[in-house]
Amino acid sequence: MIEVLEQPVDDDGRRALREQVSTRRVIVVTGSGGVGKTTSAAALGLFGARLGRRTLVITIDPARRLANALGLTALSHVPQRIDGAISAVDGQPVQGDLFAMMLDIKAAWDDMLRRTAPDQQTAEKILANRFYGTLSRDLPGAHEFIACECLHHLTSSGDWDLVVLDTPPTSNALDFLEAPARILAVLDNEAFRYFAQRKQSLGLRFLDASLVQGAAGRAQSVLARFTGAEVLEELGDFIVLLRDLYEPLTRRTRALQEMLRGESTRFLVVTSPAAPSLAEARLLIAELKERGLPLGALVVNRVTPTAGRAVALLADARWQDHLKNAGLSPAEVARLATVLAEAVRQQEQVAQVEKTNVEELLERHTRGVPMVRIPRLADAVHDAARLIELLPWLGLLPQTDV
Amino acid sequence: MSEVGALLHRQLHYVCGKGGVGKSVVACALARAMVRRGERVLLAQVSAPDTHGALLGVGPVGPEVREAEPGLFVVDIDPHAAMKEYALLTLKFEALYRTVFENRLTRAFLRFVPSMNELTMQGKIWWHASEGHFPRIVVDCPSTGHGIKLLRTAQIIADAAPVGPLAEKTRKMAELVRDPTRTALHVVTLPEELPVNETQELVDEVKRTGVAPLGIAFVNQVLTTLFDDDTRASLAAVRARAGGDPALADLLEVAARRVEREDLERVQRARAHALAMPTLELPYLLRPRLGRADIERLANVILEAA
Repeated sequence: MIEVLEQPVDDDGRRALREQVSTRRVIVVTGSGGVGKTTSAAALGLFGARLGRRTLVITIDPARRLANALGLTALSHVPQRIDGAISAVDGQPVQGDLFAMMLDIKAAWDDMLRRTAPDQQTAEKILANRFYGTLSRDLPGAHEFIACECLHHLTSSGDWDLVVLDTPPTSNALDFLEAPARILAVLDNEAFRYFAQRKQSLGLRFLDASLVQGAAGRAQSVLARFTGAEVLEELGDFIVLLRDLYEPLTRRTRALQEMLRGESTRFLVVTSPAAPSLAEARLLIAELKERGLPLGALVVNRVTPTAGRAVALLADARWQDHLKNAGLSPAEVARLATVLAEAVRQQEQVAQVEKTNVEELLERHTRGVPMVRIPRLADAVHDAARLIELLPWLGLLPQTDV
Repeated sequence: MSEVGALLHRQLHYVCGKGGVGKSVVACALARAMVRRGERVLLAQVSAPDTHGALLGVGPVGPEVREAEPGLFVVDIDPHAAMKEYALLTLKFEALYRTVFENRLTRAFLRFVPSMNELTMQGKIWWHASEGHFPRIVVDCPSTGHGIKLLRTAQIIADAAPVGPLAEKTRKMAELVRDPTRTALHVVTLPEELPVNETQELVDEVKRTGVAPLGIAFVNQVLTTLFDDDTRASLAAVRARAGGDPALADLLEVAARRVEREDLERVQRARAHALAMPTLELPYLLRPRLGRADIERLANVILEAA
């Protein structure tokens, strides 16, 4: 039930979220695009820091929203300290440390390669291959893959009490978790091993159809008609180079998957009260469950408050008498009254539509999952002051034990 | 004829935008507007959960093209089905298709050929467009980023694979998508800051890459302006002289919220209108789930602008 949202109440949802922010090591913020995911991630990071934890917020969003939300103009690929700027706003000490960074996809891929390749020479060869650009930039899942890789790198460094990850706004927000496995499956598949072996042992052009026997050979030569032989040739080189990366990447991916499924991690699903967004949230919840990933809480963002007592006031036939002492002409009162009545009607209608949506499309299907509602603040949150306003709604209330 | 009217005469319409801005609603309304002008329209969604069926009230939309009602054809383009079709067209023989494409080796391999899914889906759209059955095709793109990727795929592949049969096909696709007489890329946004920022970025990228000619900028869910200068002045007078009246507290709160919202929307609408493409505002329909009647209402708005 959504009441007039004047003051946040310390309900089950907020208590659960507070418990998670104060005890877990990783919080993954998911949701479809445009629901305030980045802002929620920033606010949760600040929440963690205010609870005395050394906190890092990572965003992959190139729109610089996290930077804006934190009152900065830009973020870099290196964790940047921001608690000073926040404390200056409301004069309250942050207590812990708050850092934020924006993942630079290209830099992260290059870093990962240099970290993982068996030697400098191999790394440079891969970096120069045309398919590397395609792989790191354009292959679906490439951003997600490197986000996971980075998350693993940062969480295993031991530098952070809490890492909050703002996931990329993909149509399928959990793709990023599957990306490593999918990309690794490519590296481990038969085609790759086959090509790699041929290239290495025989030094042959692997598309030389006269030398390639059996069904695999036929498949290749027909495939070449689709893509062109040169494409497969260069891809073959690339495959050979990537082979040595397979094992370390698999090891790390496995470790990350284990961590994400364990007690140290919680996933939050952020949604707006609009029907499409709620439907996506539900899909997301089902997918989390299917993959054995722990759902922490639901955050319904930008909820329109009801019109409260204004509805009862307008039901009174003589309500316009209240406007009479303002020194307006009867015509002005009449016009204002019409507009006010329409404003109330519309706000009430939106509030009811949202309430029905949240109940029917989400709550009914997620009994027992903590839910936190945040009212639509007047403006899009993009400075530290607004971020601080969000904290009580997320569960950082004065006089609460944490 | 208005700019909007002229744009509706193109054959291929991509509707792009972030998730949650009402892209599917706009795609459906656009398709219905064209049908009502007597065109034969194919409305395609791209491997997405079926939303068009419910919005149009025409039953489920699947991978087979179906005439949902006179003149309006619906389809959900599925990458695997599209790939198979394309392969069969090229290879001619089902048996050969099976040898090649049902081969585990090839399947694993194809997964890695960059953006193969997007390419086959785009190829399917291209096939529909060039085969001439549909004078109008409306594509409800995946959410931005991905959506623009779908459009760029052909060019990316053509660049990555400069020779060979695939390259030739992709070049033709890229040409169609770039053709200002045949294609329009419409963007959908909301009168809010972040969606407009993102739309601006999308439009900039489209211009920079020249991936497709820009069409209409739809500003969706625009609130009616209730408070004009006079009513604002009256409201200020009430607040100044009767603001202490406890009975009015919630009412004034509602009014303040509304005024603030209208101000914010005005700024964002102005920014959308500055996008250097024809802009069309669609009203905020205060309903839990939109259906056929709502789509017709929005189609009316489009037809009035045409």
